[in-house]
Amino acid sequence: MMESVSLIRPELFLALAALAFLLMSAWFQKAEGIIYGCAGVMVIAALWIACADGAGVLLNGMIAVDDFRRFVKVIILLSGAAALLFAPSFFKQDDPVDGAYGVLALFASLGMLGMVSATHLLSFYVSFELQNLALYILVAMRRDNRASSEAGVKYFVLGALASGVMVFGLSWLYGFAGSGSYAMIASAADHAQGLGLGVGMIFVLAGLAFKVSLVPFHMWTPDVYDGAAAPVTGFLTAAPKIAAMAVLGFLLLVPFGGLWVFWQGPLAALALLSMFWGALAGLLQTHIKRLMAYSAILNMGTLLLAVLARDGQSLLLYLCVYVMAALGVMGGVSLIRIKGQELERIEDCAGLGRVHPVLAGAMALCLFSLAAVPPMAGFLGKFMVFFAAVKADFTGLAALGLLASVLAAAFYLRVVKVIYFEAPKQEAASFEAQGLPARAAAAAVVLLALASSFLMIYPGPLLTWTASAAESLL
Amino acid sequence: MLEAIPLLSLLNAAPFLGFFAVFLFDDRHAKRVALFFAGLTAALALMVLAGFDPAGAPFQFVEKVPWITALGLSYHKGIDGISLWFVMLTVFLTPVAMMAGFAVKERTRLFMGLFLLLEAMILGVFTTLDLFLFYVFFEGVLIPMFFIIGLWGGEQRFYAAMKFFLYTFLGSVLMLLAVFVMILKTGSGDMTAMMGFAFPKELALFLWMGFFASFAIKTPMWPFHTWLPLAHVQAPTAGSVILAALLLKMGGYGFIRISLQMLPQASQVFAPLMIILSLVAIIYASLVALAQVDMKKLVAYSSVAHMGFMTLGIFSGTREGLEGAMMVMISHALVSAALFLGVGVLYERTHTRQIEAYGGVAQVMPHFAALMMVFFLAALGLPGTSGFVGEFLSLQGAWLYDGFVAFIAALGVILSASYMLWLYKRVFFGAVEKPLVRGLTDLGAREYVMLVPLMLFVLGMGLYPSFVRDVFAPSLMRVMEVWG
Repeated sequence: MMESVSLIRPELFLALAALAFLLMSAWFQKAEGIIYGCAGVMVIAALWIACADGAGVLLNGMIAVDDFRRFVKVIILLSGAAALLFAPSFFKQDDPVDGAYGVLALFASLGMLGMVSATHLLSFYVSFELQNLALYILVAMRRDNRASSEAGVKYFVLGALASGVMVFGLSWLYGFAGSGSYAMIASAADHAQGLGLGVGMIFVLAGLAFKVSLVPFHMWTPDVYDGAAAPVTGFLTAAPKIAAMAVLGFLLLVPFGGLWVFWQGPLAALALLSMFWGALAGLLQTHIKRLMAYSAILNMGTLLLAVLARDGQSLLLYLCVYVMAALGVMGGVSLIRIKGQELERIEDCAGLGRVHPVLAGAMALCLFSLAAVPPMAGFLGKFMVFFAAVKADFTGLAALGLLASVLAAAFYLRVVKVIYFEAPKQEAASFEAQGLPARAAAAAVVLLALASSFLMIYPGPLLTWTASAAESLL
Repeated sequence: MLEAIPLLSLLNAAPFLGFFAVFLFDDRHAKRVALFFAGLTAALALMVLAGFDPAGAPFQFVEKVPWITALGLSYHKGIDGISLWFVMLTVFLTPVAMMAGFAVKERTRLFMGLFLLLEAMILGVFTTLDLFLFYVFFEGVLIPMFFIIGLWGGEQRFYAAMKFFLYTFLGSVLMLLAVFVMILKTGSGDMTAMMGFAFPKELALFLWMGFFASFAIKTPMWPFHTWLPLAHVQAPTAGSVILAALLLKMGGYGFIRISLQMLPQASQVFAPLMIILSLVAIIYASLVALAQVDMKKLVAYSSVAHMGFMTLGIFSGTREGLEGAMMVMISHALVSAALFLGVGVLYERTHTRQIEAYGGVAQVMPHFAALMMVFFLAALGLPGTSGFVGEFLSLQGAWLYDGFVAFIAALGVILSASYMLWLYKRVFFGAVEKPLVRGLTDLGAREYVMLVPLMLFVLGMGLYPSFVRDVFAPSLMRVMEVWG
């Protein structure tokens, strides 16, 4: 027993650290210190998980540890830490920095780790809600900002609805499988109870689709992304998406693997709708954070192709490269200040290429990576996913997805165009990003951009790691 | 000893390094640093040319290192007689274009860096033997060119840059699908393995169409050419030079290397369609060229017509036609580069490209007029210039394919003579009436350095074409063998 608990030591460490920082934030005035401390804790936990090995099921079959889960947990924590780095310099300028930001991010990450680790519906749902509650507060954290409050309420109301739908589905699953354990569900799915389980599974799928913003469950995404503070949006684009997408892939491929006939069609429809609606609506956006929301919708749709193709490796690889590039862009967005105000409209980026060449270059690299133009890492991800889809005989779907990716390239390029080709406008000419926190954030953006460009040239380690992680999935 | 050095990798790496090195210097020194790296690349290319044995193995200087082993992809390089000439053109024309870019006053460093990056990508396309890597470079070209058009272009540069990027990106995406299938079927990205691979007939047709979408847009073939005049007119001179001389050749190279060599049967099925499209391109683009009032646009449309001769030669399915296509490509690279440089020379002085703004330039700029005469004559295919050899062989190929096809294509030769000579007459001859023209000064040293070597190559290739031909002929023979 002790041996198996040792497998989740990093998670326990994370939970204790979250509680400790929660207490500290009540007394300790240096909020920045708390945020950096939380980021540090995440990095330590990530490294700890990455260096650990061994697999097993523990806590009476509630939680499991294996290579797939380990990989997902590491990228959740690293992306969360990166998003935390963007916060201090952002909040310093118009709102007082609140240490709660870091603490809430820690709790959210803890929930995500639980979601990913779960092997039982109960542990899954509890972690899912832990994550949700923390995220609702994060979005609404700027109390004096109307957009932020509106986004928080919207996120909460719709999220609660989605949770309700999901619980309804979970109850069906429990009823038909006779147990909440994934293993029991899997064996029930292979036997006679297909239909009832299928109904339950569709509701669970809907709840998760809400979380990863797949069309038609995406309505909240643009408003929430736009209303939340830029670093929070950065957090939302990365960690929760990784967690929900990995869980979605895992649930469909492993416990629901036998229900293939039930989910294949709906999933293909979700993929197509998300890819095209994400790409088309993205073309019309004038706000950078809304654009990133549609980019998320499109990319999550693309990831479904990897799930359809039952290819864990490309799923993980694409998640990695997408998150790196999206975080890079959001980091840039949270750094840029236009006359002391947060960057909102794309057109306000005009002339960034002249004023902040390094930041602009890093953002451009990330945007090209999102557009999946070779030789950027985004292309490697796209190649792997579509290759897997073609290999699994989804050639038509892959062709349509590639067409959607051309449309998407148009909206990413538009941002590059504004950054580089357009002259700075007079009233918005001042960009500010100074001080040590800003430099740290800028360094993170540059690192993400470099990773987005060089990962393609030297993909070896990432490929082996994703391959071994995917192996433990199927 | 030469075998021990990974010469192609060095050749490819030199401009990449240059791209990064340029940013270590300020704007003034950037030019010299960029030229140094372009020169280094050219020197390496000359070593490749010297070491290349036309009668030797099909692919030489081969390097192969596993890369993404799960999919059978490797870092695989090698050249044959066909790609060798494109490599030579690239290393020769890039410094020429850079010198044309010396006129650029803003952000010189970035400008020079982007040209080195562009050179690296183009060299990558022509030296790679792995289909995945080929695609990466083929697409990678878009990023530097997007910035070159968008940052230093004319008034409509945003629109032109976006259209250029998205149009070619759309074509490439269809090619990507074909790339997936070919890698899946053969189990690796090895292009040499694909050349002998018998793809199922039905599948081969679809694959062929995927590649066609990309190459036809890149070449460009009628009716996929609409991005080209726009991009050319908006691009700075140096960008136009690279675009016309090298980027378009990637389409032709792809047709030979992939469509013909890997999917010969499908190519035969589609040959009639390609011939028809080529003829339409030749006649239509020539007629449109006649109607142009903008010099750069006229030259752009003449490029479309010349590329028509190229595709005509390739898909005539004859040895003569193929050799003609190669000659057309090499000659067009030199001639179109020179023509765009010529337009640039005038534009830098007067800031207009309108034909009607000129007249009598020959009296004010006699040396320039004389030099340009050579290029104009080469463009219309006068014997003794490089243009003649290619057009003649292409027509010969067309004749062997079908007499009527050759007849129509020959009309195109007459049309090209008319628009080129008419352009020359309107710009260079006549009395000096416009004050704009009166103030012109003849070529400066930098412009001589750009244009004279081009002229020597154009004349040299016209007088002694076998030097060029002997290198690529054995490789083309291999293409013909698969074609059957």
